[in-house]
Amino acid sequence: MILEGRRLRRYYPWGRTLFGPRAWVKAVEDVSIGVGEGQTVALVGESGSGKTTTGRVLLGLEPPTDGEVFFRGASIQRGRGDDATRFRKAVQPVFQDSTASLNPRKTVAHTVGLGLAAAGVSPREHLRAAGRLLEEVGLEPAGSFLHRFPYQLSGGQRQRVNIARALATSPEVIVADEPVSALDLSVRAQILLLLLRLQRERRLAYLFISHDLAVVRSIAHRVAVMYLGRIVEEGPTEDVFRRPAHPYTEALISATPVPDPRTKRERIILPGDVPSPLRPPSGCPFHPRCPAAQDVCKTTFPPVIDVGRQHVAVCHFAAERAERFSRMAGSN
Amino acid sequence: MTGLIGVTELLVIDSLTTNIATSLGAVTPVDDVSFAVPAGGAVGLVGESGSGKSMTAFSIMRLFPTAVARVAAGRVLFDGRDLIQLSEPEMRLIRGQQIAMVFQDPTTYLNPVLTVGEQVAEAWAMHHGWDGAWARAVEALGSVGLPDPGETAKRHPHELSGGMRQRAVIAQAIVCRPKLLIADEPTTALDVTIQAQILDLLGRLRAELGMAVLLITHDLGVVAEMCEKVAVMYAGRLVEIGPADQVFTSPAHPYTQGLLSSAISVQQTQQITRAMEGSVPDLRDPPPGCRFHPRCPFVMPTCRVEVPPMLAAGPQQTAACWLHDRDVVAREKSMQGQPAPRPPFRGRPV
Repeated sequence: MILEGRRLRRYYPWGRTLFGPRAWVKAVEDVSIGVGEGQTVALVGESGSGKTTTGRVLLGLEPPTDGEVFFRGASIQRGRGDDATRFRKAVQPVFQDSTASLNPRKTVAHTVGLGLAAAGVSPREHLRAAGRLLEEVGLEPAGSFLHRFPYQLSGGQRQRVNIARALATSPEVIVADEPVSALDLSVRAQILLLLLRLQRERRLAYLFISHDLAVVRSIAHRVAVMYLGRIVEEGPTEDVFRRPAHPYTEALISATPVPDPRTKRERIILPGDVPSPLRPPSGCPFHPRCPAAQDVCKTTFPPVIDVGRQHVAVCHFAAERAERFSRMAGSN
Repeated sequence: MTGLIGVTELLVIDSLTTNIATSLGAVTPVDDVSFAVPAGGAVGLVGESGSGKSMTAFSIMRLFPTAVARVAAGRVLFDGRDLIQLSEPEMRLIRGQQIAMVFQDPTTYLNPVLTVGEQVAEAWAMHHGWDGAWARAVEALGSVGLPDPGETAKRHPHELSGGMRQRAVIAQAIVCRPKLLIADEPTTALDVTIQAQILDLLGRLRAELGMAVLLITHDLGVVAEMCEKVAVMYAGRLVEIGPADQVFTSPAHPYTQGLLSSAISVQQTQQITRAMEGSVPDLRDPPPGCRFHPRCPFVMPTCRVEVPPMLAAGPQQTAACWLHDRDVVAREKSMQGQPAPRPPFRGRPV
């Protein structure tokens, strides 16, 4: 594992009383996740599931309330000076909103140059190095892009600049938070192809945060599904999609529209909304919406169940469910 | 009005062209667009941002600032009446009563200082007076699946979740039982499990009320699940229209083909192997000829100068692409002295 979070928690205070916060919003609750070299791990979930907060904690942008983030085995919370600098160079972010993450008053050369300066490239080399990075992310000829401002770029081009900026420090891991969600379909495919090529060429590892299961299935090696701040299922991508051991994962897959009118299937429609993280339900937090909930789910928090092939799920009935999918696949 | 297959067309859009005056010159976000929505049918209007799909909807409803935007040409026949010719007071009788609209962001379209019940009741009262409006509102809120509608009606928008707000907006749209619902990206701002609920609701309301739906979206998956017919727009023009089954399985326009190959399905292991080059052109300075030609893998010299008309590409399927004109393809071939470009592939690559 290059980047790893162990038992991360991140709580935010909510409301105020004389004696401190009225309550805590548990945005991230006991999350352990790691990314290996050259690997893509996807973190999926709906809004409010805590996937973005987990990404920010792993980037070192927010301290965990509890738990630790490790970079190549060393804790970044205890890291000082050189260690901290090395971590920040090695782990770089790319965000969803390509406009908000670029300074509107700085040219592309300046934005990419900031990363180069941090990487110790001498100022005289900046323009040439920035040009090389722009070409690497497909902005060619680089000369015509270097002196543009963000408003002179299309959404896809801006996202390429963000990727070039992230690459400036020669990172080992990129934490990409919904990097293609704001893009049009044709541009989205271009950026995904770019990310795949960069991974091959640079042996980059990605923590890919997304709500789009179709995208995740097409690019991730492993996937972790979050619900109400916790990881409810984690495993190799194909295995999770073939044998979703948690009912939430199955419902998410089933709810994702398929661009093929010939696909007629029974959609699982979950009732209600995601509950407030201020007052998570008792027992299994998913039980009020779960189509397969039993009495035990209302009272007892489910254990982590290993369903084999490095695939785990936090559901009382994970083993039976995974077994059922295996049988269905076997009978075909 | 009767269409080709004997279905009664509820809405017929005929050569609709809308102009907007901007500080940088006039743009034409809707350029010579024609299609029809059958009574009780569901038609998907798809396209990327800037394709003109939302402006088409606004043009139908005539919901735009008249100071800068105007319908320059064409007709919008609704139940045989041309909406473009109606006066504003006449149009107000149509809006909400006959044709209702639902937008992407429910928060923006709900008034934060009124309860949702008041807002749904108002939509009814606009056409039928306040007598019994509250009861109608509660009934509508119930029919969109809001729990305890009597109580929910007394709540303000901020007390509801995003999915519940979208249900309230839909209640407002259907309270007068319109014949046509125009839904502009109704689920784009919602989470996928909530999206499934709303799509299910729209399908159910369609069946219960016999209401036609014009669904505007960029999400091909949503169209595939909801619509029988699909129209694809690119840079202000219609490029392809046909039954959803056909358009999805054998797209006739290279743009539709590119879009479908960029659309990945959650149901298959599928690596992304190719993407369309470039991006949607700037409408202030659109390319001449076919607007897709700079990105088209099958481009021919004719495409660069002449605008392709809608040409037959299959049963009830038409596409604005010169590849479907045999004469043009033959002429290109003889002029170049080499084989004509590959015709667009039929069927989706696996």
